[in-house]
Amino acid sequence: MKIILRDVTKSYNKGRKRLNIFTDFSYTFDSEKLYLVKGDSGKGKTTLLTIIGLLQKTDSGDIYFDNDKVSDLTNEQKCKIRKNKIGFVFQDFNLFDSLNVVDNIVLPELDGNKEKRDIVFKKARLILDSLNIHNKMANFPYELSGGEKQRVGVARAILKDPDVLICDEPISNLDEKNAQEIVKYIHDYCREKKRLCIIASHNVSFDHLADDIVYI
Amino acid sequence: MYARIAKILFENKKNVISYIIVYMVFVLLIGVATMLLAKQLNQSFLPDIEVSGRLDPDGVFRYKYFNDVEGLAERYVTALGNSARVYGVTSRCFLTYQDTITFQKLNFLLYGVEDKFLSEVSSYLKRGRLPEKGKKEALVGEYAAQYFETDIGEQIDVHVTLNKDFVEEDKGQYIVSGIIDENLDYFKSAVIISKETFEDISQTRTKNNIVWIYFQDNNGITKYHEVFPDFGKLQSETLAGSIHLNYFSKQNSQSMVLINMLMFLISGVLIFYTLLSYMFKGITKKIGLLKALGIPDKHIIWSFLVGFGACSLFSTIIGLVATYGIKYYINDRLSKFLGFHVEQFTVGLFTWSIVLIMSILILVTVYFIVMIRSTRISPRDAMLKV
Repeated sequence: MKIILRDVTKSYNKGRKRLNIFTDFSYTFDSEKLYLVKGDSGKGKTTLLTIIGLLQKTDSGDIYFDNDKVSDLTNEQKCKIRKNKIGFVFQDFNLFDSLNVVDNIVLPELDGNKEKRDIVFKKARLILDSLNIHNKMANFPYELSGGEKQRVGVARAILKDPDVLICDEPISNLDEKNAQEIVKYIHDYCREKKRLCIIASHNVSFDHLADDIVYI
Repeated sequence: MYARIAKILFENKKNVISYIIVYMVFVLLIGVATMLLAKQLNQSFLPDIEVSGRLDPDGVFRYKYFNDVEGLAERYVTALGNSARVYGVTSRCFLTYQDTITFQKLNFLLYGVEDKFLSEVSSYLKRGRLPEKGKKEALVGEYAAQYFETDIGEQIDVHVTLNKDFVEEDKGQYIVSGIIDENLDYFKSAVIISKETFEDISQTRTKNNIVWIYFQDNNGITKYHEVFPDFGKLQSETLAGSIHLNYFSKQNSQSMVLINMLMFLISGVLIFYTLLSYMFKGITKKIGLLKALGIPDKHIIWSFLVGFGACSLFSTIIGLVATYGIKYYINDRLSKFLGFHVEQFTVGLFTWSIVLIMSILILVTVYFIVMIRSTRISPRDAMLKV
């Protein structure tokens, strides 16, 4: 899936001041490529990802998914796109402490359909197996290490086989060994499945793997 | 899926327990309040106005009870005409006492009434019949029957006389002909006899010390206010003491129920708004994350409502059980105080209906608060640093 940002402007209120993050920002993220978003803290890396991921509105400008304009869609329509086409990997894992590992992964995919439920659980087990945490399925997030938590986060994001994978600082809270494994897994997944992947990261681990780097 | 979402939203057990406790106390307060109001609503045949003679200067209730108000009843009859039924009554006091916990004041009284008043009471008889003319028969209230340990056809083992004091021969002279309905709260501890029959048998003339006024319709109170100034001088001449105006409390009892329930509803809305606002503060990121993962608003709101509904149902059951507990405690306390079993307070259809209506209204309020709060949370809040 190709994502086009056209003349996007985004600003926030900071105290009494208005803080501009982007002004008339345009960029095209081509399908099947891996992009790295870089920039100093507070420059808007996360804001860019939330705009691409339809988590928030822009002040002005248009966003296109392939040839479809998505920036003017209703919240409900955007929600459907997030559910079906976008996978998120978060910096601080964002797992639900009250659900075990497998429930954390399958939750967004459950819709009351029992047949689909069985397929989803089967697929979740395969992904957990590929991430080497199949033995942690029944554990709760507070029982996992940082590396294991992020694997669960990655598993949740790719379970739906999204058109675009958005990762916000996915390895900043991990040790070197776990970071390298996550980097390799994300890279291999995107290459193998030919998915668009946009990663915001300070870490240089992704630099040599990225097709393009967006500096903010 | 709803169960899993509800698990996430209700993860903080302290919040859930707080909600259950607040809801339970709310139901308990409504239950107790309606229990008390129901008693007031059920009361029948309470005089609209009661004018009684003065107490003696030392304030002690003697057997004669109040000083006489001779001629006052007749003056009211003349002044109020057809707008009211006026009854002159000779009352005597067996004993009076008050329970400090339940605030129940009981005056075991003897009322000597006109025969036309007795015929009015006939529709409020629980059992038995009216006293026969010329016979020493009496009607007794539920409490009086139990206190004096008597029943229909049995003697009242106490001095029953309309004289200003009693003698030993007055004991056990009267027989119970009927028991008065418990809805006549005002007469629950009374013994009522025919004044005319007493005067015929004892060959003495009694004097009134109480006047009961029952208005025929709503114009009665207007007429009463018109003539009231003329009675100032007369009341001092006849040694009249206190005037109890029950008319407005009788007329406004339904409004009082509505006002009370409205106050409960307003406080309930404020309390639950504050509580839910506090609960939402802790789960903003979680709701944002659910939305970011593509879970629709309606699924989140429904999960909330199922959770709150279950908590509310549980709290309502506990609150009603606690209301029943309080009812049993008060009735038991009062029964022990009186020395016989009474069901002064009841939890009936009225209490159940009010609790149900209030619960539904509070749940509707909760629904709107949840809907507004949840809709306002953006999927962007998934990125919040906690």
